[in-house]
Amino acid sequence: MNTLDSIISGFYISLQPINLLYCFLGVLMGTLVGVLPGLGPAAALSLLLPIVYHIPPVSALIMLFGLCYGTAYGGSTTSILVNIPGELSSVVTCFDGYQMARQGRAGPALGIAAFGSFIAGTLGVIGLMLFAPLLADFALRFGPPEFFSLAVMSLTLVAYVGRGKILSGLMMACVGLLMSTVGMDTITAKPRLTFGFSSLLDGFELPFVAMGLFGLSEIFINLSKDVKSEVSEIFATKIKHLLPTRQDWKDSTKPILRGTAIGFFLGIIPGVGAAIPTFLSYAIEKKLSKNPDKFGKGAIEGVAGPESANNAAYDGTFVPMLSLGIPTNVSTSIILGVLMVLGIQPGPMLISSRPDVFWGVVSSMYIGNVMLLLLNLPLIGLWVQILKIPYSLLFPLIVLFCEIGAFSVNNSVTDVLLVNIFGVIGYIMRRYEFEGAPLLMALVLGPMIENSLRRSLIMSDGSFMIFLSRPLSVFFLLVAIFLILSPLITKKISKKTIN
Amino acid sequence: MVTLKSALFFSLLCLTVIWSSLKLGLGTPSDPGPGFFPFISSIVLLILTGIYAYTERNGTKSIAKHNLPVIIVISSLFIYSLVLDYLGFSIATFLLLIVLLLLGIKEKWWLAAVVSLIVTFFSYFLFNKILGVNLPKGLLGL
Repeated sequence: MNTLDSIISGFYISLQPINLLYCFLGVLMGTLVGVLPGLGPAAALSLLLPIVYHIPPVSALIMLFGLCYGTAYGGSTTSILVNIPGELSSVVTCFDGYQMARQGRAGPALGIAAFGSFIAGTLGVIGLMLFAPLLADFALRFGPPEFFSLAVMSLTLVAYVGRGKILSGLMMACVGLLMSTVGMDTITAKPRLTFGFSSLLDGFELPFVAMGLFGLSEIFINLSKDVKSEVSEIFATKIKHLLPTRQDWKDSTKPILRGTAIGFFLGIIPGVGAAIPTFLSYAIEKKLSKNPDKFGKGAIEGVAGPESANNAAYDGTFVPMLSLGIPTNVSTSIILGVLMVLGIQPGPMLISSRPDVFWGVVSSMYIGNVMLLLLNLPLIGLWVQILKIPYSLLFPLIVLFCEIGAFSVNNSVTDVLLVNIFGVIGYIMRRYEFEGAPLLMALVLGPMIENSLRRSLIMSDGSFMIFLSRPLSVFFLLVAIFLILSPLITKKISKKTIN
Repeated sequence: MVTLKSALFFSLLCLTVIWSSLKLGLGTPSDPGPGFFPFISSIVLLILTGIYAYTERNGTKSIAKHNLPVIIVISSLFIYSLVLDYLGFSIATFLLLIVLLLLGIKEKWWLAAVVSLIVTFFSYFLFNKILGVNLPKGLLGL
């Protein structure tokens, strides 16, 4: 089947009414999550996990993906109107977006953010469509040693780029790996590390860990910070002229295209995520601009570039996840976990073995982007109203959703208790500055890492040299080692320069 | 103190896992057993913990005090998961929501009650009627 046929069959799936509905729900919730500062995409995805069990697999995935890329749209609204980024990936949008709003140009700022997001989102999907099958094809040559080294590199990258120190990130990754071994051993069927608890025989199930570590603990942290409703001034009384002028377009076209390229290609690299490309895009636009003094004072390029970059980055993160089965951040780890729960084997074979999943989801992303444009431009007033909902009213709803959600997976009250326990663990972890992202990613990747390690060693008859005798595997491991040693190297260099 | 406490925790975790993976059987490198991977992971974690304890030994990291709302929320959630089966979904959820809402809107208890009632009803409708979840009925059958 050639690509065109695949795309058509993909649209046949994604245009079915039920899938359109779930796509709409996904992007709607994505926008909502983007708008609300106290709720991130990882928390929202984990909240949706219980629902996934009750609906058809492809529809579920369409919804979860929609939530992911929808977040990038909603994030700009709060940045521009109230100077509060809804997500990390829209922090940069505050710099010039809020200034534009103060100068009475909130309309064009929101407009260019939405159009830029749309263009970048659509181009990003085309990129995903072209690159994912290529990468998957390439990865068909990978054996267990390559997958082992690739997974180790990805975990190191996520630990490296995270907010904490790489050391604590790596420690969390190890804890995640240990947690992934709890339960029945896949090869010998022996119960491992269950310490006599029969409820641990199935291992730690993703929904409870994710909802606890990212849903509940986020709320605990927000409450301990005493977040008051910070929304002071909303420039929403009259948002006019959402359609950018010809001059605006002239100023923004190149930043949008550059932002798209930066976002997409950086997004492919594990750990980079959507926030870093926005900073890079902003820096580049400022450097290339004829009058860089405008930046920070309401330059439309400073909105157009980063807003495109974060959308394209979301599409970029989907490439390694769909083609290699390697997640690059928390959101894609959760989706990867969902794939496994639904019985869809991730990896290079995914595109050829389940074309309905890959092409259905990818084609739904075109539709989702159109929906998002329609949701974000005419309905902007509605999102501003939602911003006014105080957190004290919002958090009980999120908490309740976690609790019922946990219950609904197996109809079990024990699971509610489990989710609360993981909520507290996540809360303690954050207080001690340990991040949840590497842990969750390791938990999802764990079985794959263990299997590829065991199979590699069987292949090589017990010699660890197999990882060093294959060029790609050596490359992946070298990157990982470089990242681990990099704090030492930078320390030495900075010491030298001081002396 | 903070570093020491976390280092101690991770070391204990590693030792427990090492002990239990030795019992499971490591196998040989050419034929790894079920204990092999947990063993390797915990050895790596143990080494990392050592480096962590060493590099952060003089760390002056301090942890902010727990504040009351968090303690109330966490304890009410644990109570919720313990009484859910006995009180049933409707009553337990209604009570939980009142507690959580009162944290934010202290003086207006009637508002909290009304909102809790509405949310309880809608969540019951959404999960039970639309998503078909068998929510616990409790001793009173509510």
